[in-house]
Amino acid sequence: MEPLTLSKAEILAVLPAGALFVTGLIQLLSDLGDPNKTSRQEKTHLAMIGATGALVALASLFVQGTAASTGELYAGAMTDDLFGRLGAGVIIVTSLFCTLMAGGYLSSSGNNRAEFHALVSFSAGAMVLLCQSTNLVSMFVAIETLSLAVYVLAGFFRQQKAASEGAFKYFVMGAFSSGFLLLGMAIIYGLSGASLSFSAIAAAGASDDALFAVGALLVLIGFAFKVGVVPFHSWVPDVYQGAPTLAVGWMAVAVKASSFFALCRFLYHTGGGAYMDQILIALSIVTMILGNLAALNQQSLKRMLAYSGIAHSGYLMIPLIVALSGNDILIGASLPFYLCAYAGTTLAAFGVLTALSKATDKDQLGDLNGLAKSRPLLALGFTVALISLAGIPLTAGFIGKLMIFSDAIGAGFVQLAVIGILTSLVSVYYYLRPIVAMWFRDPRSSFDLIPAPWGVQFTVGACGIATIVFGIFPDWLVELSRISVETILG
Amino acid sequence: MSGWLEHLVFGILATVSVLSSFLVVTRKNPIYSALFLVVMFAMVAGIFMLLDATFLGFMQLLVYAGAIMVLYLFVIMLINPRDETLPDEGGTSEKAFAAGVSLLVFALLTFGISNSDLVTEMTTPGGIPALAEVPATHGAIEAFGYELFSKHLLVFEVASILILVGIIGAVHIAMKQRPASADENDSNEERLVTDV
Repeated sequence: MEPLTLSKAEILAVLPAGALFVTGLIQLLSDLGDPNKTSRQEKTHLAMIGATGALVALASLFVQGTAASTGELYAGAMTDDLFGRLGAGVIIVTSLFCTLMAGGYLSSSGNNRAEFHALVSFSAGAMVLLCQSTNLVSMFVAIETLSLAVYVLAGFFRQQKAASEGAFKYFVMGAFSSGFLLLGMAIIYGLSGASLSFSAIAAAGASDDALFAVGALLVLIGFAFKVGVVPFHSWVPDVYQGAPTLAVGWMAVAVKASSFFALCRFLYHTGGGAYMDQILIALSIVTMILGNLAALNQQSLKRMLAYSGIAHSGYLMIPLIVALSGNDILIGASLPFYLCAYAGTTLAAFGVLTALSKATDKDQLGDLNGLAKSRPLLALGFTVALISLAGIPLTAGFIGKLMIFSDAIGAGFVQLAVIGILTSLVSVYYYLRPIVAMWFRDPRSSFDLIPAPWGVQFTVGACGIATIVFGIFPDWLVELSRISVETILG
Repeated sequence: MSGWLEHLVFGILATVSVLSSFLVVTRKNPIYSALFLVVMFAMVAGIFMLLDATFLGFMQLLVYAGAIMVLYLFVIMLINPRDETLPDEGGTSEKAFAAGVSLLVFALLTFGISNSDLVTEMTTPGGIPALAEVPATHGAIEAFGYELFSKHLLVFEVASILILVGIIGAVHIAMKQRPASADENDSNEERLVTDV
């Protein structure tokens, strides 16, 4: 038996996730003894130092290597390519913003514990690994680590009944979906001659087999639960409404982004078996229609954003369909761009909701009345986020949708593009309702002033500006997405 | 083990495991369900051993049938459910839905296996050349450990984070609420510091 050696590339590639894991451990240690000893600033600062460290580690990867993939590291468990780095970047920046908003939000509800930051750090580390993972085992362990942390975050305010109920629902559904995921992985592993890494599975040539299609379908079901695609979405609204707003923001952005990055890598390598494209088309159409229709009549903003998140999962499946159709693998490039745009806009939206729900647990549409008069910056940021989610021009969300629908038409899936555009038009209605409430209605009482800590203001401002900037000058990010998708297959 | 005996043992193990897992979901009293789950785990351990995965088989017995099931039984006995206090398990429509989903998965797997060329190839004698000779170390602790700490080093380390997250979650959810006085201190402290 040869001794175990690690190459320089292997050590560097694991540094971003490692920095986040170590931050989580230090967070826990910092809370030893009297939990009141470390003030909330220290906890927040620690988490931000850790996330910044992870960003530095990520940047050092770019200094170290070019955009080309380094090939498989750790015996095929992970890789360091531009696609993974892009996903890692989205997640680390999201965790930074969530940490910025966390301090004031948590202490106002008497829950400012280091565990919150530690769990965000641990789940961020697992998500970074998920974006980089290239075999079934590392993918599964990363998904389980991040899911377990997010279940706890969803029920973090255990004195609230709705939070506990939502977290329990999420946990049971998540465990159920993990069963599907694991069964599918076991079938694929067995059929492809005991190979774990995606490239070995692709090389084994089992992907035309009928049982392989069943295995890939089960893996897809596992992911569909995580991102909330329609027949598997029933947990999403309840969890979004019950869970702490900040945790919902983290879930909505990071869990969805990392799951889509991993699913994309899995499908690009293995091809997904015989019936994958038809199944994806059906799921995408159902998700776009039901998600948008269910969002129309929601009075709770969190539930509305939950259904809107479901609808966006439907849009995000279109690039996968386009890529699997085999016309031209490069036109799946809209997926990373759309995820970046979605991350920025959703963070801005949940930033405002975090401020809104800070004092009480308000998230009704009527609570937004007259926000433009009391908090013009927050109202402006929320407006930008909503018009970007609706896909109105001059925002990143518009460019993302434009890329997705033009790719769909280019690859011959005109029906998908038509349904996508029609449902986007429907979505404008429910995205405009909060905007009308903020700008054209009077507040119910003069005491309704929403507290706005600078962390929230900064997040909403930065994400709003990024949404506009990438909406007007998208070329750089579009090019980056295109190159990153090229690096998936090495 | 000779061929027919192996088939016979597998047949018994498989039948008992399917029957007991069916009983797990149909029993009303959770204690019976848990005990049938023990039987199912033991049968699966037997199947692992039949496949020369001795170490895995023993781990299945020790960890699942031993440790985890004891934990299950502790929890069930702490809640101490009686027949009259057991919650209603949902109406016929819910049961029909659950049965429908199970049948759908079963049909899917049956369809996949019966239509798979690779499975047909594997079931014909000599169909898989690579597995024709099993190395002597197959399934032994040494081979298992070497595999775990060389090929799967990264995953092994991440699994430790996974377990840690599980512990944190359990502690956080089960922890006593902080006394009211501590909360007061907390809010006093907050008034002094500026918003972050």
